[in-house]
Amino acid sequence: MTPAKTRSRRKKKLPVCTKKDLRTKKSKRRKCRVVKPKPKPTVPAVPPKPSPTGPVAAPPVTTPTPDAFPTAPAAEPTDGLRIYRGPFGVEQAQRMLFRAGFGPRPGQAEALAAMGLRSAVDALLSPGPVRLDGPPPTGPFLVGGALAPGDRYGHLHLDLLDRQVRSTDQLGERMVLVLHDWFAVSESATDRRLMPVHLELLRRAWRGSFRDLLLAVTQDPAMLQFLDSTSNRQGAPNENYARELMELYGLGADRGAYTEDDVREMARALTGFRNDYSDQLGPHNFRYDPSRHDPGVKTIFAGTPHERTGRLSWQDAVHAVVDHPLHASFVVLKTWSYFIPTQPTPETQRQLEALYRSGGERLEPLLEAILLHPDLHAGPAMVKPPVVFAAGMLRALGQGITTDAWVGLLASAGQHLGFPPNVAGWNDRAWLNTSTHSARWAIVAEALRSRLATAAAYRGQTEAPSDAVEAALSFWGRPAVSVDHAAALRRVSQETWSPRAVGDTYGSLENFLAHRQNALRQLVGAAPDFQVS
Amino acid sequence: MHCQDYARSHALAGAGLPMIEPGMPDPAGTGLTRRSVMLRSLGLGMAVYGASALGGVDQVEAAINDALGEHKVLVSVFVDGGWDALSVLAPFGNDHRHEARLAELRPGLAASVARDGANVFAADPSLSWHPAAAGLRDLWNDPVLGVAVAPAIGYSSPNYSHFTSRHFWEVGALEVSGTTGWMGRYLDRVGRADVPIQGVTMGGSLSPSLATSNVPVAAVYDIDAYRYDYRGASGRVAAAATAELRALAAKASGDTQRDQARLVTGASFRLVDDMSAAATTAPTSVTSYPADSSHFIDSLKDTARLLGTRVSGAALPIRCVALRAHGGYDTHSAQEPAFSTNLRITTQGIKAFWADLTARGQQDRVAMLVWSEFGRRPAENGSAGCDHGAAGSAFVIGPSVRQGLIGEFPGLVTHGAAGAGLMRDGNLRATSDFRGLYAALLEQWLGTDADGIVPGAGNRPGAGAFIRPRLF
Repeated sequence: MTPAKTRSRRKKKLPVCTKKDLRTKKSKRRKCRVVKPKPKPTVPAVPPKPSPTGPVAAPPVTTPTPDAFPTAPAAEPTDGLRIYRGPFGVEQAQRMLFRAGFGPRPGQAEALAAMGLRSAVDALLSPGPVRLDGPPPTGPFLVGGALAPGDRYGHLHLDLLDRQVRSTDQLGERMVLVLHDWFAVSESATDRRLMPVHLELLRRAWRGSFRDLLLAVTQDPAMLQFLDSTSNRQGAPNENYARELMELYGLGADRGAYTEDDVREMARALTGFRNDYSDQLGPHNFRYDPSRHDPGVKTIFAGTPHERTGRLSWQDAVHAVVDHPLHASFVVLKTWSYFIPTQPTPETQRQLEALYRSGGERLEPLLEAILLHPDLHAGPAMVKPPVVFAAGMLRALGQGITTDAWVGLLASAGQHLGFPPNVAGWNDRAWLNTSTHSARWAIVAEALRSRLATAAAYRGQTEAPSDAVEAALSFWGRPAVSVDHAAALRRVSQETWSPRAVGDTYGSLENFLAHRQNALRQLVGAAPDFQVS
Repeated sequence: MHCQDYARSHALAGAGLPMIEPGMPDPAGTGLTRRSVMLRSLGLGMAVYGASALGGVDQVEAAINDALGEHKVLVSVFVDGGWDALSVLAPFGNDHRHEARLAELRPGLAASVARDGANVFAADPSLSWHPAAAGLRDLWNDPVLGVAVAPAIGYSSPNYSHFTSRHFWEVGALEVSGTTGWMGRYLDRVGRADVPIQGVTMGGSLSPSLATSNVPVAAVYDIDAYRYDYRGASGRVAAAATAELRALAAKASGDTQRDQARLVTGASFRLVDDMSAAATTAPTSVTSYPADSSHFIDSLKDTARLLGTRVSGAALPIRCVALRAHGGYDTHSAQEPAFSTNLRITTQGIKAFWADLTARGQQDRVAMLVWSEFGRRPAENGSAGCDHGAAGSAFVIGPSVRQGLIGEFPGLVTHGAAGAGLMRDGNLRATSDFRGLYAALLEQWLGTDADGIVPGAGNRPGAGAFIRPRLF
């Protein structure tokens, strides 16, 4: 929703809070109102339908044509940002749920399509009270019946995956994933006990201003340890966090935004954090200790119009980054890249930057504009990140986390949550290669494992080739498949249908039918077209 | 064409040679070796005479080796995080100025390098091998292998971002916008459209150095685990589904990422054949590797097995292999003992790999490059570590490599003074350029012109071109 539109719907009693207001504590702030999107309709909760366990149980599913759901009249983009006006049918809703969340539950794409684009975006942005729907994790890997993300290897990953599968705040969990990539704190260099608090911070703070998020992350224990901030002290600067604060979190490399001198000056401004350590507690009691802070004069961005000089504090360092003229474009392009594989036009980029600054440096208005943008809905497909691929299958099947195999499988597929490959996070443009592809194959097989079609279920029945294809598609919640893919499914179903082959290889018709159904299901899940949304 | 048909024989067919069916025995009783069969197939039955007409026996031999998949191979080992070159080859030795400066710059860290006379680096006795780099030192002392050492390699106007500097090394140019790797461009020139294993990353994510624009490349984490098994399906239906996936992979959809997914699907199914050949025919390593649990060690073993694999006498047509060294080297704090542990496992692993290759008789067609995105700051920081620096170190290893130095150690004299080894910002000055090293590897080892692969390498010799060290 555009800020202008928000204003028109609201009482006009108070002035809108400025950036400066928002930086002031609430209690000390002048009377103003914080612009937040109006509460919107929530995504209709679709009870997870039991997916057909037997192939004949698949109900006939009619795929609604896009025309059946005309889009609601969209808000006029008063700030000039373009809004998608094409058909918003099930296929478009499926894509949006994979881009802004973790894919549809059975029936969810249909329900979202019926709402129209505008309401669908509103529902994603304002999910209402957050619940975890569906079966909670079960299995022998649990500790006292629950996951132990701050304690056990792999449990942080499973905890995130569980929320991705079950949370009713799909966009929120997607943003946790985005920010886990953005800040990329890894258990390989941070005490595991600090990680759940870090992720909860991301989950809680992303809807606020990015400035506040950056301030919070800068003093978050996991980050303080991860990038050596507690080793950065007066007289013995450590540049690690200072560099990444600019390069990876707020400004970007190779854009002329800062110099090596800025890294060194920034590091001095950021001095002063410390922590205690004990064998029992590990690193703890993280705090700011003024006696370790370099109180001298520092100059950041020297010689530029946005130069800051003085006895700068760590907060000054963060503000300097957010106030930098290249900060908005960095945030806009980085945020955009998580949702849309093509670059925005310069005009769109400029508009988004303006939206970011005018909206109190919040990500939410950017997301709203991105989710409404034609480049998302009418543009090219995007490879699903591995955890989106896996969580999407579990959502489609109405399954919960029943095995810790998801840790190793997703690590092989290239996305071990809690362990980003390096300080820049995952390479989001290179998910697919021959190695990760074989892992995706195994992920499909794992998702199928507990729901295999069996000869017993086919006893006394038969199944026409076209019904077998329908059953396999229904099994996966009827994903959109290309013409080529559909033809491939039909051929497998038809061409293997030979009484002689059935007798020779499979022994019985029901055994053949079960094998065929399982092969078709694998062929749906592992097909190249299913890797993208 | 179904990809089951894909086999080593394709390499032969692709070279304009008759198809040799997998499993075809050598001609019995003819006394002909496989190579002479190849020569006849080439229409070079009178090889000795024909050879001179074609430009020499060496070239014919090379053509045959290529036809058999026995390409020259470049193995790249990336040391992730920017390793501390001043520890790998520490300025301890017969130059007391170095030592005195190092003691000033690194009052804490310098002590971690033992002043062990046995570790003096023969090519520059002012430097000493880190005790944990003994694996490299032993390779240097090996009478058969050659090791070329760049003690201070980098580029002008160094970038201190891991990602930017690594990117420069990966794309082989000082271009932030580059998208193909330098080895990838080599593969685009000489590689084939249906042979992903020609450039293989031994790991879960593709090395950007191998990124191509035209030909497929591969990544594999564990050759024994590279399988595509169905659950609850076998026989005709599984075979049909696989065949359909392969066919689907070969069709273009017009959508970039959808087509990427299709291409990778196709490449993956081709790779299955190679991996199953390696897993079933190549013996596991008999030489002893470090016992540490390390994917780097595992991937070295797998690399040796892949290079030793023969299918009907033909090698897997591998040209470039990318590996990631053991551990992370971004030692901002508490550099020791982690650095020593990681360096030991990495260098002992490399040493074991060369023994393994030699045991398999594969060493002569392999050269190895060991590199990192930069070195670290000569002055230690306050956290018993050091921040990002400029010049780092690189090594080229192989039986054909000329032993010696690539550039010299610039010393640690402060910027501004005579003979300064440090730049204004206190970082080590590079004395060789990685692009010159790449040009040398391409031209002297891989036998192709660096022009068109390494930007700026064209106008040789001299005149602004990168200095190419004589490596081979």
